[in-house]
Amino acid sequence: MLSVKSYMSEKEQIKRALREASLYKTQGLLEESREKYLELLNYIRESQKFSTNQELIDAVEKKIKELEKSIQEFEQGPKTLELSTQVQDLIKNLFTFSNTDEAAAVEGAVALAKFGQYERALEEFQSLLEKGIMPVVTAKNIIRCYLSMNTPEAGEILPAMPRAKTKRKKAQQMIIDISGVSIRFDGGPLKGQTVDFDVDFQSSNTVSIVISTNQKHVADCLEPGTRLEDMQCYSPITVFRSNGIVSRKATIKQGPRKGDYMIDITIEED
Amino acid sequence: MGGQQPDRMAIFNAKNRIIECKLVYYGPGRGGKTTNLEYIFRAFNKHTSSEMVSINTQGDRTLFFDFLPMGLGKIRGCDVKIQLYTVPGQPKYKSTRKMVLKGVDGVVFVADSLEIQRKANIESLKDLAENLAQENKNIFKIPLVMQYNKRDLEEKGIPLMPVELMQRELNSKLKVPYYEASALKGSGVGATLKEALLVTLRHLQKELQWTK
Repeated sequence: MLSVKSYMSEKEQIKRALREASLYKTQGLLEESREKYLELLNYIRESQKFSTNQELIDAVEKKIKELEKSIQEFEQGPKTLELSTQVQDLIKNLFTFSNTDEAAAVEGAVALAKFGQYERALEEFQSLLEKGIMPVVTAKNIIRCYLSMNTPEAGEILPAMPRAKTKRKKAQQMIIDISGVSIRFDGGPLKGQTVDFDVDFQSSNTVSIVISTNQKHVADCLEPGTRLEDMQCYSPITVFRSNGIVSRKATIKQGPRKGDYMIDITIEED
Repeated sequence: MGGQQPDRMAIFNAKNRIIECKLVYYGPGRGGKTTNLEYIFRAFNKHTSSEMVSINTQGDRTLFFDFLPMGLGKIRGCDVKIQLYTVPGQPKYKSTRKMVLKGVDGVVFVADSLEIQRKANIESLKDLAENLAQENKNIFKIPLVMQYNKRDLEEKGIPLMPVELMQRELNSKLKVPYYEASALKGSGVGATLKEALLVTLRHLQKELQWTK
């Protein structure tokens, strides 16, 4: 913190602050550099000796403006970019861990999508779908790629899920298999986050998901009675939005998933 | 996307006596993770088997990850191959960090010694613990080495956190080995890597019994 009362002379303090701000900039710490220059500007304006030094004030203000421009450019810059085929192949290779060829192929395509390589991921998923490999997972990911790309295909593929106002399906009408749900948490420790779950069982309009003990913080957000607004439900033939309510929560007592949480979600009628 | 992916561990090919493991450099944005790998690539070129892959966006910020494969040669009759990764440190790239952490065997946490990065270090360590938990891994159990980077900046009169403070804030509970470093100059980089490899391979030996 800059202080006039410090043992250093004002000139030394200013030089030191300039050095600090400049170093933060070279380190790419743009916000921190800007903060330091702003702090310095206030210090100069309050200083008896330097407050009339317009040249110094102008120089610091210029630095602040340059930084603000760079920060804006960074914030508006692309969050992702299209990579070369070689790097995409590397991603597929590095982030595939399954032993079976089919699961590995799906995993590779999922990895591409996760790194924002949607076009290449789509090619892979479409090829997998044509071969009948894990069709539910593959179809679900095709839809997600289109949604992430925000292309017109998303609207064509998802007639039940227009991006503005979604027409909800009545749960009683849909005797269809739901393979997965996406839940967006509006409160609690996961506020603002969307978490995907695979559906393990389904009985009528109640789906059951299993959450590992390691994900206790997620299970804690799903206590009986919790209302789940605007869930996305995935089925092999469509994706739709609905509300749900946690109707039951239990701990699995035996078997390989002993200790994990079994949570039932009843999908509501409108 | 997709369902839960299988938990992957280091690959041990008993027939060909090859072990492959994955070391991830984690830490706040602009803390020096990529600079660590760049130094390793230059200084340990005998052990690097190919080019370092680095995918950056504007301002030299890591957008995806850096990747550097290394071969350590034979250790107790086993050919040991290491994959070094960095993650993007900016908070908004959480999903990429989670992806890169898949199948991790050991972690180097590169903490930034700059006083202004105090909060960012703590946030990043918390993020690491959360992401490891989602991988069914525990930050207290995974091989982990702490690196306090940018110590050279003290000479330039830049306010740094004392190592004692960093130890108290980041390592008092974890109690893992730590190194002071300047990734830019290379000091402490090799020592951090060696320690990370040591603790990781020791851990894998217990898990996989690969030296038997």
